[in-house]
Amino acid sequence: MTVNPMFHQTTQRLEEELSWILRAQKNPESFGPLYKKYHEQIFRYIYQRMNDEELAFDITSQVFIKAMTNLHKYEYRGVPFASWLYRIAKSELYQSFRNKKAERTVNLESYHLTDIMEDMEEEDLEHQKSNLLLTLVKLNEKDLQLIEMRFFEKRSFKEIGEILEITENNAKVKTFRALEKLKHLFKNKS
Amino acid sequence: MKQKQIILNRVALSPDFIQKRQDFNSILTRVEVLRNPTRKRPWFFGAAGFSSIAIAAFSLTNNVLINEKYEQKDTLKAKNTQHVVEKK
Repeated sequence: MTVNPMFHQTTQRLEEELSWILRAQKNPESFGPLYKKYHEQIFRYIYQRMNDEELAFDITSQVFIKAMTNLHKYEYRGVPFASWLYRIAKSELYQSFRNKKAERTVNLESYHLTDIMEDMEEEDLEHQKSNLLLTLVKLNEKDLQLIEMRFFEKRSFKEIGEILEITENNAKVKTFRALEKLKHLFKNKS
Repeated sequence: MKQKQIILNRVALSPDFIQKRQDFNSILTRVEVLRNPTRKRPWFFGAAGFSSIAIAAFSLTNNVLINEKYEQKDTLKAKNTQHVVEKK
């Protein structure tokens, strides 16, 4: 499976990002380049999980406000700044689900289903796909998150690990288990 | 959490459309408000202080005026009583 290369950054890029962060910690106006760089990524992450465009933009703004007000607490750990933003986004997103402002939505493309079918070693048939859709909603939130990040957003295990604050290997194991659960539910459904 | 909704092949938003919605200045303003809330601004203390003094001065003057009114009423009452007694 091909992964989205957007998240991967060179050491040079990471250092440049760190210099922006250090400057922004002293002067909030210097946060501009980080906002410009990550606004779209964070918006897409949020919008992927809901179906309200305006609310997704609002939550994205809230994420950056939170990031800027808490920037003094940020500690560089050698990973892209995005992983910190994703964690804030995740918390803001789930808060909006709890407050019933937004409805949890799973957005996917037909080819995502084909990818999962391949990984599950199942035949790529139309009725199988609709069964898979019905099975996906039955997954618990944690497993669904892993499936979403790996198969719909094409994130690497390294990135998933950084977002969920677990090791790359642990992300791999957990995703594999989530896929196994999906397979099991799918077989029961079929 | 409620039942999840599934959407297949939703129309994707273009990067241009998302970029047009970027508004760093409004974020910055909101951050400034959060970092420096109204009650922490110097002008707020000026305004709050001024209103407190004005309220205190108003109530003090009001009290003095009310007291004076009552005193006047009491004197008038006393005078009237004296007048009635003298008539008798």
